[in-house]
Amino acid sequence: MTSLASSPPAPEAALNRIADALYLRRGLLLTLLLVPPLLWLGVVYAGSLFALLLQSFFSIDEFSGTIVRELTLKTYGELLAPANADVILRTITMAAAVTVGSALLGFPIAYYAARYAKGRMKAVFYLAVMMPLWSSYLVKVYAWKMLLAREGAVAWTAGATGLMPVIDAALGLPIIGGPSLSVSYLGQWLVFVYLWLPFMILPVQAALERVPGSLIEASADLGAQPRQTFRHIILPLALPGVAAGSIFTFSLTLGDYILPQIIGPSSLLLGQAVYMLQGTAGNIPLAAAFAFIPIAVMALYLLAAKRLGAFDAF
Amino acid sequence: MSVHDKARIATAQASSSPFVPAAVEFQGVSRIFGTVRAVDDINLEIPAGEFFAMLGPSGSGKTTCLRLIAGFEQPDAGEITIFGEPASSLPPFRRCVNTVFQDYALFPHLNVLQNVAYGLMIGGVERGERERRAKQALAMVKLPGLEARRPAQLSGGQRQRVALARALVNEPKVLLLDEPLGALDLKLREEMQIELKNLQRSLGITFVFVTHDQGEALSMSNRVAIFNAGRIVQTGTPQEIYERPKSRFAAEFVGGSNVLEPAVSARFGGPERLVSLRPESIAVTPAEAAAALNLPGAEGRCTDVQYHGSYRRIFVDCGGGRLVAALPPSSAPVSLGETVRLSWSPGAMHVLESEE
Amino acid sequence: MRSNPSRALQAGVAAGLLFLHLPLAIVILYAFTTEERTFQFPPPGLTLKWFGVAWERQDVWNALTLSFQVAAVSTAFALVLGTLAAGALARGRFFGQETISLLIILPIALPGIITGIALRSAYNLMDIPFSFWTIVIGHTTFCIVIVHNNAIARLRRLSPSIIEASYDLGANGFQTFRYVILPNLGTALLAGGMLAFALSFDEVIVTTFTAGQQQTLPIWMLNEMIRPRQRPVTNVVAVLVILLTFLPILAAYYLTREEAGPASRTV
Repeated sequence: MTSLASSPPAPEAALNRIADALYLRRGLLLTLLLVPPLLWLGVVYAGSLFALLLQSFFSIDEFSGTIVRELTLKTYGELLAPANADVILRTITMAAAVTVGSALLGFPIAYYAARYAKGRMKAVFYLAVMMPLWSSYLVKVYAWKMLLAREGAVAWTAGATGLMPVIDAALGLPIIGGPSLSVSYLGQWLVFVYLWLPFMILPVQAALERVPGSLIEASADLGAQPRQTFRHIILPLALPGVAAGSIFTFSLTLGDYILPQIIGPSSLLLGQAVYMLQGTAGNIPLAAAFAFIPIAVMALYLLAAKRLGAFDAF
Repeated sequence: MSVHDKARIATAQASSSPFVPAAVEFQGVSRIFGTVRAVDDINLEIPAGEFFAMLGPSGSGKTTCLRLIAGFEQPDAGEITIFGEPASSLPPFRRCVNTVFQDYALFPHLNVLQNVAYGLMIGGVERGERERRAKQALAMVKLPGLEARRPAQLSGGQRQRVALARALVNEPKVLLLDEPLGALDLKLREEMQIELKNLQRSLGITFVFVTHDQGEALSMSNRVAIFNAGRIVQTGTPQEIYERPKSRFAAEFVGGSNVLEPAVSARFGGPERLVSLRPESIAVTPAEAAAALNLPGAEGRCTDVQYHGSYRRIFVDCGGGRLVAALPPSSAPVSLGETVRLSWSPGAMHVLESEE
Repeated sequence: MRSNPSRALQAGVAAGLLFLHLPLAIVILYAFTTEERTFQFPPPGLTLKWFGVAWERQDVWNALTLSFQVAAVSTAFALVLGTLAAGALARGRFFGQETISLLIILPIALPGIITGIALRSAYNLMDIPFSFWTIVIGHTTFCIVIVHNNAIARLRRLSPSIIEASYDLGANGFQTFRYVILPNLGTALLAGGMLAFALSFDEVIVTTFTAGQQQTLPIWMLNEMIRPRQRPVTNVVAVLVILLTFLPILAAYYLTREEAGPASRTV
């Protein structure tokens, strides 16, 4: 067919030569494709991450308040101070509690969606979980602030349905209770679970859907009751999905500094500490050291989750 | 002037001139993937206007050779020329070669007419003209009337014809077909075999097709190249390949054969060489008749019988070797465990030159 | 277990779904309340007047405009960069491939506060003053992965022989991209773009670190939550935000519906 066409005009000919060269030199094409995004991510993002971590090895001069640019482990040492260690432990505990809560609440929904929803219902379930996932974080937090207020919907509903004593009893519990839901750990935990629930449901549903129906039937064929099939077959196979979901719930809780400001007691979570330290306090090294904790915790957690097969759930 | 007329003129010119270059020529071509030599020092010459088959098991390098001709792979060693022009540095969009892909590769976002006219559109042919030519190509592959459909709405056989039309409308000098009939059912496959052969004959352009089905290769092509482990084992007409295989591999791969070691061959009454004996040349004969005619043969116990409709295959354990015979339906039935006397004419024992 | 689900399971699932959706429904309800100073439930009365009041508030309009501009520009950048990266990674096998994949996912995998601080310290180190562009840089960084995931999922489903067929028929790389790859990639890019837009529109954590004095809509909302001026106006804005993120997500879902089962995510 080249014999049928006449030669193209000059700029087109140059473009053709470039096209030929790009085809024959795969490596060149690859490089050209990757350079712009890598420039951005590699240099700007990874570079600034590195800069941040570097700062965690600097320290603050106590008198002048300026950053001393000498490598030291003193700042990490400060993390061991009781006030700081408290923050870290408190946040990790909350993250764990949120993970457990989301798993317990999310599993039935994922299970139902995977095993009993068919056709149109499946799409409905998918949207029903996706919409809250993607709707605005702030609006969701704000909604709960309204719900948990003393005159808000939760209190009113509790009064109307007679569940008030239950709530009062819950609020009476040590540590996690408090004067009202919106300033207690209980309330904070509840909203965290609400926020991250879709992140738990989706991977669990995906894992459950990957369990072939023939396995369930084989188990029944071999004499197992439905409850036994659930415990011995379905649950272990769903665990990677739970592990995958827990990566999100854990990581998101570790870094959140906005929700604790709005709902919960006045004691700080890790995210808030980082925010305050790098802001008004100007203590970047300590902020960076704090920020390192979620990274380290998540790295360890990811390793453990990988062992449990969480990444197969993707 | 139609595609047919142009091609007829070209073929006439080719046959009258002694200096028409080969359609495709490989000189010492190799293609290596990591440590695997997919194509290992191949020399090949495909004359213009031929229906050429590349036959071999999977992994033998035949598909890689096809891709080397098309331009999707570049050789690591050696030279490829297409009609005398060196092709090694030409990307596929610069070669006068078109491919019919194994999975047809129809563009899902275009309808049939747009698919077929794609090459013309890229080549700058204006719309009215390219639609006319596309319709002509569709008529040539016997698929008129489906222009507005999308590939997803077509059957496998229809998609294949569209792929064929899409390649042919660009009037390539060489048409490449990658296992074109693999996905079709038996009836459709046999139909397409006849149609492809007729098409090639009327167009006169060079067809190169890759297949692992030796029946297809034998029935459709002018010449066949047998591939094994990256090398060409034998090239020749279907008849040469079948009746005079040069190696054990060629004998066993094309048509299946009894390959006898020299000692066994001698014991059965043949030459003391590596020998190939086709199952259909073996007959069951009564012992006295065989002795009287002094034919090479062997006696043994029948261990298996398979019914194949137009023939019967029996497996006979002849102490020293196992022989497979393909008996016509008219021959007397043989039962399991029965001792039979097999014999064949001396000419049926074909000496093989090598193992591979 | 082809049997029907137990009552307990059905009740649990219904409760769970209600739990997920009721709060948002209530926010929408509150936009119509007549009560101005508290979150009284049930609302004493219903009115449309707050919509009018919100319409008049200049600070709301400014924040809304800024959010739109940032989202639009960031999505545009992310579309280009994410598609380039997807093109390189879809079928390549090359040195450093996994590292690059990890790098692309990092902005979303790490807590937002870390991304925010990292970018802010980078700006400080390089003496870049806060501006529209500093916000855009931050948003683009995590929008890339959204586009990338959508694009690469679609590219991987595209049969590779289609691209070869295009080359075979005479199209060079540019033409193949324009006539074959782009049309087949189109809806995936659209979906990715919409998701990126929604994400950028809603983003608050990274933005607070990279915005300086400016207010995007989420920052406006955050300030209102800490120091409220007119509560119902905040509610109206909340309804607006719900709509503006709801619609792109729905659209993105319908655009990519045929290919993926309900259980797969393109987050």
